[in-house]
Amino acid sequence: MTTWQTHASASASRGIKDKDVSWLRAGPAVDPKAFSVLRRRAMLEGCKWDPQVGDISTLCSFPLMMRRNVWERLAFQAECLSAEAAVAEEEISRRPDLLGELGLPRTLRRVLADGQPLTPAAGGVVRFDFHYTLDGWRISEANSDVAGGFTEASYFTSLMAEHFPGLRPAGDPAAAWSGALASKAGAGGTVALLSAPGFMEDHQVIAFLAAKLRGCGCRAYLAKPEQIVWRDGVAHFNTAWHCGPLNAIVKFYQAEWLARLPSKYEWKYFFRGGKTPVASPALAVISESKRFPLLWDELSAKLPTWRALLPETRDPRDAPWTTEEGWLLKTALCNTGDTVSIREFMKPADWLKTRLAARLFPQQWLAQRRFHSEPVMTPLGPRHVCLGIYTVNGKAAGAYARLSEKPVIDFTATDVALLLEDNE
Amino acid sequence: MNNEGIFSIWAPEESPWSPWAKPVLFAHLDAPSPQFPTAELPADLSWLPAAENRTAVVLDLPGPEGVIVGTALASCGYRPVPLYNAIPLPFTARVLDPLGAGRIAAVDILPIVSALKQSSAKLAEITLPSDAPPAFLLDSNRHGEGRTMQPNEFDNRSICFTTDFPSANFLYAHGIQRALLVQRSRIYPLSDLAHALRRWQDGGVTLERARVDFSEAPQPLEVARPAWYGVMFQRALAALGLRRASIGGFGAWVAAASAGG
Repeated sequence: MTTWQTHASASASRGIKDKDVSWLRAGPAVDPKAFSVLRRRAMLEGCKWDPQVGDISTLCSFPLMMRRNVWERLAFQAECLSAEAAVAEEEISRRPDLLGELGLPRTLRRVLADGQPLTPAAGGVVRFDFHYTLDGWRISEANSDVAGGFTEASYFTSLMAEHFPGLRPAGDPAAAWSGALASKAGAGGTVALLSAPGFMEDHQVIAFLAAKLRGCGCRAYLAKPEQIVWRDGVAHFNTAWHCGPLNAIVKFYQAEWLARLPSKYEWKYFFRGGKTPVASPALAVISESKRFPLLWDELSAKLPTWRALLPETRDPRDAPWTTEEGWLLKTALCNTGDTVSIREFMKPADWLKTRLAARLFPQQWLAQRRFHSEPVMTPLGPRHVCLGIYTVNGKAAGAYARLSEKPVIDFTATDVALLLEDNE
Repeated sequence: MNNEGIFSIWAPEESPWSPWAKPVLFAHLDAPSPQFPTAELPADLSWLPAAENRTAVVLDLPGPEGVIVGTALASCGYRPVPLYNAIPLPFTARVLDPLGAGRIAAVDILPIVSALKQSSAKLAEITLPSDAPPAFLLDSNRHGEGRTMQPNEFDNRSICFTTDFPSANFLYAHGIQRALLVQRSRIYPLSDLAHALRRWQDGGVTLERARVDFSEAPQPLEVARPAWYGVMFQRALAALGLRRASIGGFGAWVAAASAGG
């Protein structure tokens, strides 16, 4: 079997101690005809409805192979990150002064700081984005509030695994997540899955999860947040396709956008005062904020895993990002890497706009020390790897792997199946 | 024929345009759904350039009309490429029949689903060369315009993105330097489509326009720079905290943005 080794030797020559990168490699491509069938199944059966973005085919025909012991270590780190975040979120929620530092809308801060009981959580799923760097594994962020990638991490990866006997997926996050939700909703429970209208990449996520929930015996309906009616804190549907109370809600809808809805929709119940369980948990938006690290020194929680894995993060007013190359900028509520700004990869005019925005609204931005991602050699050439490791209710549940030509993962990244091989 | 077979007819392996065919409606084709009567094929295609002229056609027509005209264009040597990007109904069960006579969704997609099914047999009979120029099919009702959406309806309005289309470079690489926008009762493109067309225009593709309801030769089309042009707009704007207006603007319709991380 031909594989494409990583730059492990280059790493060694730079005196890198962590050799994990040698246990991460690209496997051979699936036969084109077989891959075409696989891609079609992913689209028609697995809700992969955005397989092409511009001229880029977003599904890789080869897998990424990782040694099981490396996965186990990363999975353990993800679980530590999840546990530490939960403790910190709870502590921050009791400190309105700290909530103000996260770059959240004022209305949302006000609700989070409210004294009402938290709306019960239907479960929590977090995706930590790991990158292999010259200094070993690092994370770039946590997607605590709204994490996507389930069909790629579960369905597409399972289809790829069929072509590689002896290799196995790292998990099935969609099954773990839908199982957790179904147990919360109860047998035959009714679950609403909410997303913003018009965005197929979001619809495909909730449609896939809804199908999984149906497989667990739930009744699952797609909707938008404005279609939830709260009566005494209990969520109801009042739509043309279903009327009645809900047993659980999945909001694939960022907290800060909920907070921009008119108050008549009573969106506050998604966070506090509600009786219907909601996923993600009300406080997840705290670690979703990329400014979360700015609060660490104020907390009694120590967050050792976060401190070890996340690059140094500062308020843009306190970092020399204008004079030193080693920094990037991003917004506090950055989605899919859209606002990750690195001067050398940007047009001068775009960098100028970013500088202006960061100077005018520094409380919505952060400066983060750049890490140097180590590319993996693949059939397509060297590619930077991002492993989005899921935790479901604190337990590692699988990975959404992406490859990028450049050391920034954004909408142009391609999806690749992560498969585990046994240790030697 | 199952949904995979029908999708293979609309997006055959050999066509370079098939990767852009949107799968979402085909993913729902196996479900029982209402049959709508097949519309008449358009009588007048005088606006259509010969396929040998290597023109990309964008059919932005209401409801199933894009499928009907697209099938007619296949008879003239064009490869229809469905770009419909909306979920028909809010159910995940493989049942598409509405629960009752009342309207459930903001945009009625079921006639398009029906037309894709019904036209597939005809399309399968047509042998097209692998390099047949593309005819991209869109639903001009995708924004839900022309009626007021009720609060209890499923919001399946959709928009098209620049990334839903091949780049001007890709068109050029396949010998295509012209594009024809075909609409009904409109001259200028809808705001979301304007972004894609403007990108082609900037890439050196010559644009023209025609109407199915008005018999005339294609006219030159110059797409003005749309608002927020060049920004990877929806997500980037959301991240910057900007919101689209409920009327007008680049997205022109929904108030919220994509959320997935």
